[in-house]
Amino acid sequence: MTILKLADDGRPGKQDDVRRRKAASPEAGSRRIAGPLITKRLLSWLGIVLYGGFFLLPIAFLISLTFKTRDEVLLGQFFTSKPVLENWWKAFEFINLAGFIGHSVVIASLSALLTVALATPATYAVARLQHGEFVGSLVLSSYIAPPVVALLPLFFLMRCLGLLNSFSGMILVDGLMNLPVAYWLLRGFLKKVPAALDEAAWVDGAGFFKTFLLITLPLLVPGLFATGLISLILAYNEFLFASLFAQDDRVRGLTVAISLFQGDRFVNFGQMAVASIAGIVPVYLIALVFQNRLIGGLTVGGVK
Amino acid sequence: MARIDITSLNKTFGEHRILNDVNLSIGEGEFMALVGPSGCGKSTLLRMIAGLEPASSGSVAFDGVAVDGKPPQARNIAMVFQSYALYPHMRVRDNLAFGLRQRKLPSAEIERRVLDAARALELLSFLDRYPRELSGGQRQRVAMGRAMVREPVAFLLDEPLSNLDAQLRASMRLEIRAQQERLRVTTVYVTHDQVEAVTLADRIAVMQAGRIMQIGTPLELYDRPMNRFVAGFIGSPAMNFINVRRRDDGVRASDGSLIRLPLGQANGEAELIVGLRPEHLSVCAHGAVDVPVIEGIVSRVEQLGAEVEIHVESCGTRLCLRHFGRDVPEKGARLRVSYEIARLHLFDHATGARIAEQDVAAAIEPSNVARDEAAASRVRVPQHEVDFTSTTPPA
Repeated sequence: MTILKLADDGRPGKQDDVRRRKAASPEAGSRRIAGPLITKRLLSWLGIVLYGGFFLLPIAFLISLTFKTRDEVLLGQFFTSKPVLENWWKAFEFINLAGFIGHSVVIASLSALLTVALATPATYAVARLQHGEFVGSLVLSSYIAPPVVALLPLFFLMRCLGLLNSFSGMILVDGLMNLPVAYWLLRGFLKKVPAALDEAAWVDGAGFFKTFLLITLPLLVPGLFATGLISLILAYNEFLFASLFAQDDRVRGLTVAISLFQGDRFVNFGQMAVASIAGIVPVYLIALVFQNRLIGGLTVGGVK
Repeated sequence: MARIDITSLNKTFGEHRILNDVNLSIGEGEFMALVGPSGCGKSTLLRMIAGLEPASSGSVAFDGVAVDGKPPQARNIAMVFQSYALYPHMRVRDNLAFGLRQRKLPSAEIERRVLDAARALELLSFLDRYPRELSGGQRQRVAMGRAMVREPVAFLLDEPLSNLDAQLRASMRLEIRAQQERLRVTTVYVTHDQVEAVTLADRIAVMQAGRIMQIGTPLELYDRPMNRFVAGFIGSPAMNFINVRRRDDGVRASDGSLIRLPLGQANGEAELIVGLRPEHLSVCAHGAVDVPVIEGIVSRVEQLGAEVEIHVESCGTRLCLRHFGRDVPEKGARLRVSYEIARLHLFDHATGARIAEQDVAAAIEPSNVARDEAAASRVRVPQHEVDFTSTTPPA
């Protein structure tokens, strides 16, 4: 600002003076500029911290809960004066936490596979058909109804089929339940794969299924991973159907297991927090492993 | 190689008529260009030949056998897309071989054909690269190669050069023509660039609003455009059009300028359009006598190096003329422009159709078109006729 003011005052030679002075003591000049820059940077960091804090606070609170005694939890303090570790081993002792997490991982992974396996060809068929748009809206409309509407019919259906309290039943329910979401996600990815590639393959003599398999599918891989991961997380977090259809310990998943920490007269918040944090870990690890796969850009260079 | 016959082809999207009764015969080994402005239906026509779009009615036949209803896979045609449509996850080698593998050719034969095409298109050193690692020109050559290896009955090219810069486009144009002459495969080439069409094609079909306006060799279209649209589309810079009215005293433009016609006055047409190509207009030479002239004010001069485009406000429009030489008039100068009567085109004002020479009434005799005025339009000697003196343009 000072420099600009001096340069603009119109007196001949003044601008040169400023330049000379600036060259003689570069630090002084940089300090003049650095002032507002540092303030700006500080402000942006403050913004990031506030923004991040807003999202991380619940996790931090959850972690702090795991080190509190039951009494301390009831006092509602954020930090604990005497951290205890007993929640960590008691949670795993109280219920078969590791086993339930394992059940959830198996059910969520396989149902995500089922979702993607069904949604991919379905999306391809609908999105590439000339009059298929209404099918898309139809798919979405099925997702608008609250899931609880399907609870009882599904319960009786599954009982008839002997699928209650079974992995296959839960995989089927979760896998099919997430189909509309997967369809809409994949549709977005599919629209990014140019239709001209399909046409080029047809002209080259490839049949419609072969074109899907050899041309479209490899280019959809990032989309398949993203859709699979989201379906997996949705299935992993699912509670409503799991609470009714998987009550047996042999198939019970984490979300239902967490509710077991709630007794008749009190809630064991500390151990519940341990179970919640332990439950986050597998999903986080899966996301971490596949994050490179989620990056798109595979179609670069194909057209134009 | 195949002969392609298109008969009464129509295409409608809802209420939109994309193609309107298209009839076209493309000979065996012929290079046919479909040219027209954006949205004229030329790409749709090409896609219908490929089998990528179903026809609403009409028929497409290869060598006399109708292929209507056959999917693209069953037509054995090769297509180069505007976007190239290279398979991004495959190397150049696999892109070239994909079509051959689908036809289950022996791998030795596939390898031979891929190498042949790569050699012809100078792609040998890029065979193991992915499309994303290639430049625009190289991608275009891969797209061409993918069509060439197939040895199809016809090449269909959909604006294959439109994504390249001008220099590369010119060299690829030569290459496409050279490859087509080498292989002699029936080729249908869609472009909106009339220069591409004229330089490449044996014959050109000019399209507008879903109709074919004229089919002919490049020179036929240039010399005898059948309507105002073709006349304006073929040739660069575009033909000048002057609206004229037949009056008792002759054929006059809106500003009163008299224009002489080649053979005679059209039968009873009150309003006509005169077409004059910029290359058939010239700055009236010193001492020129008995040549028809139009006078106007120079409004713009574009120096192109080898030639100059001079824009002249005259006859109620802006005329463009190509001038070869360095003696260029200044903007604002009054200029006398002479034109070649024999190369003047005449169109019906209402329909835009060419008024053919035989339809023109008896030769343009001064008795028919006011003898005196015709004579008056001729330059009468002045020795210092071409003067580029700057004058104030009329308000």
